[in-house]
Amino acid sequence: MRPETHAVAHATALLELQKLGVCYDPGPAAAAHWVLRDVDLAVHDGEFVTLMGSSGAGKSTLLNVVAQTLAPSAGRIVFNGRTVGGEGMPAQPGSGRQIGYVTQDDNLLPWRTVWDNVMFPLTLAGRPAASDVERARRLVEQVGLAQWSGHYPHQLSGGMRKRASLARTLAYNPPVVLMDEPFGALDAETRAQLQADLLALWASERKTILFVTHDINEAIALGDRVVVLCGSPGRVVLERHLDIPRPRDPETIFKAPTFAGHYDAIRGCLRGGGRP
Amino acid sequence: MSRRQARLARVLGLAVFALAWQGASEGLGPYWVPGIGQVAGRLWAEAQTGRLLADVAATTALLVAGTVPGLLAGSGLAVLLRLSPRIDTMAQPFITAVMSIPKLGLVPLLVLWFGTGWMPKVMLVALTVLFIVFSLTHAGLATVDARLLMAARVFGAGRAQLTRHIVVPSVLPFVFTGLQVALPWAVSAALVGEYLAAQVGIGHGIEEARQLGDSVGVYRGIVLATALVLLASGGLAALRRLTLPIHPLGERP
Repeated sequence: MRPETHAVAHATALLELQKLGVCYDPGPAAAAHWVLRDVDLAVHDGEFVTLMGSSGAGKSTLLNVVAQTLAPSAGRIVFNGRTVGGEGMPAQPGSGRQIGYVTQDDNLLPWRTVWDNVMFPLTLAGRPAASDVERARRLVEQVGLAQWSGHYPHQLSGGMRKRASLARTLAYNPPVVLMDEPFGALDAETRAQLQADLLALWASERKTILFVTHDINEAIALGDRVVVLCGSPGRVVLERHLDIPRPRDPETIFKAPTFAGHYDAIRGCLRGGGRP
Repeated sequence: MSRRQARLARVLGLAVFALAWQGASEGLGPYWVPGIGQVAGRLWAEAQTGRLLADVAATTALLVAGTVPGLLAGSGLAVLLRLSPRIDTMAQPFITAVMSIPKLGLVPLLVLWFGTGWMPKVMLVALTVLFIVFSLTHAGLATVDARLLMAARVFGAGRAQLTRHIVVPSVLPFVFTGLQVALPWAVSAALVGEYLAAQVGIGHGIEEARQLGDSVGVYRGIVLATALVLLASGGLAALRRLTLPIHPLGERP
C-alpha cells in the first residue's frame, strides 16, 4: 500500500461505506434490481460491529462488497481515508491484504492439512517471515487445534473446521475481518465456546470485525454496536450501541441489565420490516 | 473382511479361473483353448530367448509414446476450451461428433496419411487417450469450487496461484481417472496398430501366431496384453496415491 499522503477526512473511521448501492441486472432503471441502496456505515478501528437484517436485506452482499469480490453499483468504499472501491471501479479482492473474510462455509482446501491451510494465505505473498510462522502456530494453539494441525479438513468436526478457518484468517493478519454467520450451522454448545474464543481473540488481536448473524443474542453478546439492515433494497434501519461492559460471557449475556432493551429494539426492528 | 480372508478369496477366485480354463481346454480341445501349461511353457521359453522382453518393451514404448502426447493434448484442449466460454460453446457439437467416431475405424485413414511406420500407431494410441482424457478433464474443470477460488482471491491469490493451488489439485483426480479409463483402450489401439504393420510387439506376436494357426501363440499374446494393462493400471494407481494423498472430495483414496 502507498503511504497515506492525503489528509484523512474521517480520522476516526477505519472503514467507511458511503451511499453504497448494489444492483444485479444493471440496465434500464425499471429492470434494475437493487439489493442494497444508500447504505452509509462507518466502522472504527478495533470496533466489533454485528450486522443483522431480514433475509434478502443484503447482509452477505454487503460483506462481499467490502471484501471486494463484488463491485458496488453506486457509492464508494473508503478504507483508512482512501477510496478503495466504488461505482465504476473494478472489484479487486485481496488488494492491499487488508480484508479477511470468514464465510459461512469454512472454505478450507481439502487437499491441505490444517497447518498448510492456515499457512496458505501467508505463503501466497512469498516466503513467510519467522515471526508470521510463530504467530500462526500460536493462533492454531489458541483455537485448540495444536494436536490436529497435521490432519486434513475431512477428518475434523464442523466446529474444528470453523476454528481452522478462523485461525487461517487471523494468521493472514488483516486489519479488518468480515464474518458471515460463521457459527450458524453449529450446535449451541460449540457455538457458545467459539463465541467466547472469538471474543478472547478479538481482545488480544485488536481486529476490526464486521460480523453478520441472524441470532439476536449473538449480535448483542459480541458487538460494540449492532447495525440492522431491512427492506428491499436493504438499507440501514437501526444502529445501536451495545453498552454492556466487557469482558462478556456470551452464555449469560441475557443477565445484563440492559439486555432486554437492546433485544426488544432489535427484534421490533426486524419484525416491523424496518420501522424501529 | 479381514486381510487374510481377502487374500484367500483372491486365491480361490484364481483357482476357479484356472480350473475353468483347464476344463474348457479338455472339453474343446487345444486348438480352441490351449492348456494353461502350454501357454505358460511358451511364455517361459520366450522369456529365456529374450523375445518376450522385446515384445513387451516394444508395445510399452508404443503405449507411452502415444499416451503422453494424448494426455497433454487432451488436458490442454480442455483447459483451452474452459478458458473461453464462447469457443467452448462453439466447439461443443464438433467435439461430440468427433468423439463418437470409433477410433479404430480411423486406422486405414492413418495408414493413408502416415504410411505403415511408427507414426500411424502412435497417432492411434494418442487419439484414443486424447478424447477420454479430454472429456474427463473438461468435466473436472467445471467442478472447481467457486467458493474456494473466491476465498483464495480474497487472500490475494493471483491467476497463476489460483491455478496452481486450487484448479490443478481439483482437476488432477479427473485426469488420473481419465488415464485409468483410457488405459485398456490405449492397449487395444496399440495391438491393432501392431496387427497392421510391425516387426515386433505383442500385437505382432498375436498376428503372426494367427497366420501360423498357432493358438498357443495367440493366447500368449492375450495374456501378455492383459498383464500389461494390469501392471500399467497398478503403476497409475501408485502414482495417483503419491501425487494426491487426499482426494479433494474428502474420501481417502
